[in-house]
Amino acid sequence: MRSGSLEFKIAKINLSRRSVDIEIRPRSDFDLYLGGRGLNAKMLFEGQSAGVDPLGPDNLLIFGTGKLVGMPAPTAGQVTITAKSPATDLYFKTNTGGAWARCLRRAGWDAVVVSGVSEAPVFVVIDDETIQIRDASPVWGKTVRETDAHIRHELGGTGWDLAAIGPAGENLVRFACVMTSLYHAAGRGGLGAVMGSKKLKAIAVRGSGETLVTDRKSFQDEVLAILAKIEKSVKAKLYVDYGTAATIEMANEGYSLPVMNFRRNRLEGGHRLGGTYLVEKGYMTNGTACSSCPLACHKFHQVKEGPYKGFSGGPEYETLAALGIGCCVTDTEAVLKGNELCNDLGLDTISAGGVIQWLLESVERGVVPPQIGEGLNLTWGDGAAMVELLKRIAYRQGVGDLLADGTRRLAEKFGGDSWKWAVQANGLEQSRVDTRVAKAYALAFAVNPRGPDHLHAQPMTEFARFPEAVELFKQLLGKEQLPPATSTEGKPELVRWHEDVFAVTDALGICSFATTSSYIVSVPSLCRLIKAGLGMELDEQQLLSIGRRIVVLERMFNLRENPERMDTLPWRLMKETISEGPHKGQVNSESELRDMLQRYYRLQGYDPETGRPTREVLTSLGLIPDVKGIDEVVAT
Amino acid sequence: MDIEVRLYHGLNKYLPNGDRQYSQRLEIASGSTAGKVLAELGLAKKEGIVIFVNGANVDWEYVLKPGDVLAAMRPAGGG
Repeated sequence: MRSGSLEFKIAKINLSRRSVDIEIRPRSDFDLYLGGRGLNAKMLFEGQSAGVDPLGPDNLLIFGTGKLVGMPAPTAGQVTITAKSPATDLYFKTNTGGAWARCLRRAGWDAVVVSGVSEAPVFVVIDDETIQIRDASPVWGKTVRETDAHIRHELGGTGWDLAAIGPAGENLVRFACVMTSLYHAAGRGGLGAVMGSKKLKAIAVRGSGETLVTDRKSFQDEVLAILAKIEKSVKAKLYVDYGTAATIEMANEGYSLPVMNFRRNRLEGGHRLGGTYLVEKGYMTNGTACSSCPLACHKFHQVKEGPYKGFSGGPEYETLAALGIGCCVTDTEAVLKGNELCNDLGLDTISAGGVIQWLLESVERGVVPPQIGEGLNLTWGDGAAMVELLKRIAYRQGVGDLLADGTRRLAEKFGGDSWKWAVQANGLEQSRVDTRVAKAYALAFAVNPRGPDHLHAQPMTEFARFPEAVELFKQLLGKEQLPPATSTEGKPELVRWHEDVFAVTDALGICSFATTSSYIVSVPSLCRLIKAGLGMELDEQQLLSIGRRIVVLERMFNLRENPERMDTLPWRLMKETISEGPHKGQVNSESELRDMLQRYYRLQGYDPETGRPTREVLTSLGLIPDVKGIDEVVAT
Repeated sequence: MDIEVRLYHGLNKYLPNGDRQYSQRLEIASGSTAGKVLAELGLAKKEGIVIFVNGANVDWEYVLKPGDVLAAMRPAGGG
């Protein structure tokens, strides 16, 4: 049995030297960063200098779990993976569930830091205290499922879980993902390619320890209180019944679904990719929960016969929207095959859908010749072409070799106006949220250090569509009358709160669906879990300050890499208005975004013109003097 | 007057044309509200249902016009 120590035990694995070192980090790291995403950010900032090659030996690849992982805290089964991204050349954190994080904590480790590059393919085995580096040549080139089966067989016994890459990661696709527990993706930013560049195929882990809570009775009371809230939550029931696929119907009928590379907002027949249809037609079945998760949103899907026969985990809303709706593919079975391939090959579905849509539009507009598809019908709505393109991307074959570098690099290569329909900012393809109808999302995407997506802050309150969201919105704005999602009123305040809470959530190893998507686990509830679980008393403001410290540190990493980096959105969303439906004419104009940014900067204590955190803010958050080298990045 | 109703997330079982369908055209009385139409289908007003008419998020008192598309579902979100 292990106690809930507030020190951190880190495995530092150098693949160039094939060495393993243990580092014990002090309790002060918990006080300032909690762990997980927070500690990852500090270790990345201090562990590498500006300008390292994301696919070179000096880029650290950090797997960090939170201190609540391993305890029976609801949804505490998350790992954050952090590195410099080969898609954006900037800071990146990506997060996933499954069972891997819990296995690592049960083995007694808080984080694994991988550096260097192996000469030959390897996988790492963590079996409680023992860490080995083993030959992965038999599984190099294999899919995630094949790799998982082979390594489990080789290791024998039970209790293993793997974080693995597929061929896409090996082939350095800039949006390759890391998969845990077979079907859970740390999807974005190409950290699977970072793993591939190190010739690291997988990390297999199992642990036999338990993590004790400090105050068993209080912890149990809080867990039961959270479970009671889940029982009453409409949103939680929806997750259980349909997973995130339920969002398709809502976005489609509300004309907020990005169709045809963000040119339209509703797709006729789009319901064939919605959760209702998938469940009722027998495609989507009950799934599995991540460790310690009573929400159990993860699903499985199957196609029983035909050319797309198969089985896999998911699909999630983003996948259905990117590979299906965005490409105008309403063939349910083709889209499910696309999801299965992305899981197996290790591809981020959002960026994969983004590059395919860029290609289809480029062919439509004559910037790219249709022959580039070598026999594929590169027109909107062709499911077979979408499925085949995914394979070519993962193996870098033909046009897939070009698509594998992402839309920013594609547009640079093909020129013309094609950059205008590369729906990306800072190198990351926008996730499937039309920010023109949701202005808090627009601001959150613009300031996200990853680029324009929903996994840094997810300000779902602004839609005010369920009781918990309405209540929080009123509380944050201090008023009863709520502005609509298309208004910018109060949105910087909303974004700031969601950023802070998301950071704390990741740092503790909790799932953001619990705290910022369903608003079931409140900030006071997190404080109570920390107190009962870890014996540390924090009030709400202190906890939010830790979140803000993490957010600001991540921003400082990017300022060190690229002082000119802009808080911005894709060109299309800022220049082209919505063309149909009740939101027709909406856009993320430059003036509107600038106004929200300046209000946000003031709230954060940044320079209101440049958006740079000031020395005063860094000092008040304790980043000066705690983080080595941060002083040099501050504006003079 | 004639409108189209689209129901999802298990609410579609209230459509008169049967389970596992998602939309149906209906004849309704002129001046009907969205809430009245849904109530007549058996859907009681309660928290946790979101209504759109022609894509716009409306409340249960919204007065329908001929040709409107009324969609109802549970409050999804997240991906």
